[in-house]
Amino acid sequence: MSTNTLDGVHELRGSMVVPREGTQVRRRKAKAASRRKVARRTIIGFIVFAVASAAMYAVFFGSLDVLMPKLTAGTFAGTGSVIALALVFSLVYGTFANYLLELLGIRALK
Amino acid sequence: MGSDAATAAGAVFINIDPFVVVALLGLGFLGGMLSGFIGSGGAFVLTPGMMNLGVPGSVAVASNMCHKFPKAIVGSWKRRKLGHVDLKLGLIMAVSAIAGVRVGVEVQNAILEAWGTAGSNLYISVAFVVVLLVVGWTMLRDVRSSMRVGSDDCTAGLAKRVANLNIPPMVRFGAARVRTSLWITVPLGFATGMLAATIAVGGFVGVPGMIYVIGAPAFVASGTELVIAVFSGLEGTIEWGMRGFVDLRLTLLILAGSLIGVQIGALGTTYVKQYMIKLVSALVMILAAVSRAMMVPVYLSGVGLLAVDETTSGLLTLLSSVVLYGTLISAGVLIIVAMLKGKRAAEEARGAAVLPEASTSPELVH
Repeated sequence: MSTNTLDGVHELRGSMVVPREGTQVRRRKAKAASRRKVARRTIIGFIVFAVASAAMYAVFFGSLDVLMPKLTAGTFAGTGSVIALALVFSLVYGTFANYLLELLGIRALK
Repeated sequence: MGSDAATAAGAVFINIDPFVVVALLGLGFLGGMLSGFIGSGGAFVLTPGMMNLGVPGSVAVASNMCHKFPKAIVGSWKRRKLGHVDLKLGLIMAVSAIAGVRVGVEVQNAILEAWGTAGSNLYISVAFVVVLLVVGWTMLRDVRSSMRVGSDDCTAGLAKRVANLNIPPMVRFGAARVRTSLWITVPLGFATGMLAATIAVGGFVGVPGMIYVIGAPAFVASGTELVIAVFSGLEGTIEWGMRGFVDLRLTLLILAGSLIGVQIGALGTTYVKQYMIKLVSALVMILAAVSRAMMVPVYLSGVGLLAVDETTSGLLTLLSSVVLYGTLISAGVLIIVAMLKGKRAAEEARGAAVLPEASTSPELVH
């Protein structure tokens, strides 16, 4: 016996409204597809931000001889650059750290 | 990767070799994990850890303040979405915290000029020992009463008495659900800023102050402290940066470890009981204070107030490092083990909940 529910694909058995078999399979497939999409996005994000972070660190530590005297000169430009670099590094590397933990499957319990 | 170099202002930067890189990454990771686990204040192990690697105290504090504020921006943004931030309270306290940072940096500079790096290291270490012992001991007492009462809410009666003080201008803070005098929040913010400029951890005054003196809920206090940390960290970076004390190499290496650690630590809080968080924090604080106290004779000898031979000085430095890093590694392992246990218990509980459901569902359908 069918009943008029929102999606019109439920049936009434006894006092319980139960989804039909086909609906359950479709839902499971849709869920799996969405999970795959999220996983793909996570992997792409991880690679992009890992490369960007590694490049930033390589460029910074590769040009210390030029950068450090300017950054520690005690000028507004030097201090401003320190603040800007700290912000950019946190943003790019922090995003990489987010993707990394997502890939590792570390999530909040509650 | 660079050698020991003096900046325009005279701050000495250490040589960064592969060992120091690994040590800073590990220190950042473990410090970040603790920071995420406690809610704030991971710098209480980062500054001593950097000093144990030979970084002058003032450079360690300056680089730590620079590493702290970008993290605080992200943290406060996230916590605000959860309703854990009282922006009004945070901004009012941030104004006086900025003044506190300025005074703190001036005091540090005066000590540096009068006593040199050893004097500055001594001042920072003594401040650490006093603050860590007081906060650690208070936390341990809190844990004991929490375990005895069986509740995590042990708010002091002091907050109630302060709320009754009617000294205008009185301000109402919506998210914190308190009404208090501006004359209470201003000195509290100032002390938070001053401590931040001294040891790079203002939260040790700010968070307990907001909980026990103002009467804000603990989650609002730690969220609001992040707003103060954004401004005090930024002001500290500007003040120290203009004197050439921020070593961006240290900042970035610490960030590389801590940005991962802080997220693991924050997730770890969802796996364990509240008193467990406080217990781990209190023990780490007390052991970090012991580690710093071991260095005090070395710095006293540096300023000529005590005679300590080189062998004893080397031994004390080694012992201090072993205690600090040993404590950090143990705490890190403890947090990860607690997370794994919590995850397993949750999975077992979920499995047990699904089983009876599965066995009863056919009956319900037919």
